[in-house]
Amino acid sequence: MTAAVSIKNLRVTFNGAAVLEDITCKTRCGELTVIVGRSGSGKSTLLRAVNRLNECFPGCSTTGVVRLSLHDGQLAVYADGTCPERLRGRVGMVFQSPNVLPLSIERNMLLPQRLVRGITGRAAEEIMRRMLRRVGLFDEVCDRMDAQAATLSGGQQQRLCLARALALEPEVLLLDEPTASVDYQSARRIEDLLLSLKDELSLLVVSHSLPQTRRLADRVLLIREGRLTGQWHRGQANADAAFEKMLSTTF
Amino acid sequence: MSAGSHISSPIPARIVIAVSAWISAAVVLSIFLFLAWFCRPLLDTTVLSSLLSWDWRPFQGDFGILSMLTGSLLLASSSMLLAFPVGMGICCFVHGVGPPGPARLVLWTIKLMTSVPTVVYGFVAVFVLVPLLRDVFREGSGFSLLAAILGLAVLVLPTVVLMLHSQFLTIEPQVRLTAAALGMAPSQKLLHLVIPASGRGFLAAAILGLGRALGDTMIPLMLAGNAAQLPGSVFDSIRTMTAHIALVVATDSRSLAYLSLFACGLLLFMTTALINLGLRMLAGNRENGS
Ligand SMILES: Nc1ncnc2c1ncn2[C@@H]1O[C@H](COP(=O)(O)OP(=O)(O)OP(=O)(O)O)[C@@H](O)[C@H]1O
Ligand SMILES: [Mg+2]
Repeated sequence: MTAAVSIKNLRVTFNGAAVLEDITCKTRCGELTVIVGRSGSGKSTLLRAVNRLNECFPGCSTTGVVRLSLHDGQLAVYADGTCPERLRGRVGMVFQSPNVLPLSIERNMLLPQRLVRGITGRAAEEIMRRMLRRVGLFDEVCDRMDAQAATLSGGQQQRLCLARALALEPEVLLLDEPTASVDYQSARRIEDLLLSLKDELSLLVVSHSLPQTRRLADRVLLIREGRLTGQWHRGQANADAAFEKMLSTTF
Repeated sequence: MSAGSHISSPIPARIVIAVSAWISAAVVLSIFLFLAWFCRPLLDTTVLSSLLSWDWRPFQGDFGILSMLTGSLLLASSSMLLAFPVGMGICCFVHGVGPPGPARLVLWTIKLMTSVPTVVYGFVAVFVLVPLLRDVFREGSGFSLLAAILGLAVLVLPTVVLMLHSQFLTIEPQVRLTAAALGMAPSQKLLHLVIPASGRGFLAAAILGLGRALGDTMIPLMLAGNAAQLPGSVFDSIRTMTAHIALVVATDSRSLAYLSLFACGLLLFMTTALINLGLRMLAGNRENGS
């Protein structure tokens, strides 16, 4: 089986200070990988290394190799010929804090589809409705699609961002604490959605919750002060005991 | 990045700001009153009808300033029609459409342009642009409406570019990461996210640019030929109200000619104020409508 995401000797620095160092790991297709670690340990930076979003911050420099396995073969993320925009169109990301565009709810869903994938009209609206239903937002917003997205509650915005990312039908999805600002019911619903997505795309999820990690993870990456200090896999020997042992010190 | 972390300004700063605001308002008001005071003789209907006519022939007793009014409006609006799209293009180039190196160079050049005195533009235009127009089009002396439009467009360009630039600078960081994460190209982000949210910047650029174009004296004085007439084409000479004031103040003239200066001043003041109000209302309507 090929690796979905393979990272080798990844090192990320901001203004010369190392934030991630010597990260080497692999995730497999059809698995959901959860990244855990203390606040400030570098989880978000690791996610952003996969879609090259760290480059959008000043003073960032990245070395090492990141490879993704996509439908049409392997993609070396940091190779010279790789266009960051095309890469990010195929690697979706939902931020830690919701980041709706200053547009209406509908435009938030339709504009990226048109610009990034060239899908317009009925086809785009169809995808929009399907994805809003999938994240459980459709009933809440269907009668005010023209309202500014910023008028939604934090949890609704978070789900809108997830739907917007899904509408681009990414092959890899990066989720930075996707349930941070939603209630328990919605959180469970999103978790179920993520589990159902496992077969379609590769998922990397940052989580701050032990029960959530236990429910979701096929693989866990533990980050401590910028280094990968622990890995766990569902198929390993004594998986349950190893899980408790590794995560008892984290949460 | 914490949004809206306003630190309430300490009281002394607030007093200073309030005082300067009141002083500026008082100065503007007193200029208006001063102009109105000197324009009192205009209330006489024969004087008024003499000034509000098309002919300026001071030695035959015709002191009409309507052709100057038309000249001013024509010149200011044409040069803005030229400078606005060009300025917008330059601003887009600077904000991600062009490569970073040339973009920085262009912005640096535009900023430098603000510190060039108007008379330098006029001087260069007299020796480069005017002969060029004369040779290329072979119509008249080259001192024409067209020369003044081109010169004035260069003059107001930095105003347009920098107003838009500062507006883009406040909008762009709000959408930069999101647009990038969604896979949008910088030009798409600019066209579909930044520009639609920059209405205020466009309004400010239009108001300040038009004000600058209407009020400039040196460029029309040096390039437009100063014939007080209605132009038949862009190759004809025109005279603006500002150039008229400069010309008549500089030459000794009779009383009604002098009065025409104050009429021009008042008209300039009112036109600028009206344009300002009109554009604001237009923008207000659009915001309410959408
Ligand atoms: N753009 C940046 N410029 C400078 N330093 C940065 C930048 N982004 C992250 N860092 C630094 O990198 C370290 C890791 O940040 P990161 O956001 O990856 O942490 P995290 O594990 O996601 O934390 P949290 O759980 O609080 O979200 C922090 O020390 C942070 O200060
Ligand atoms: Mg984080």
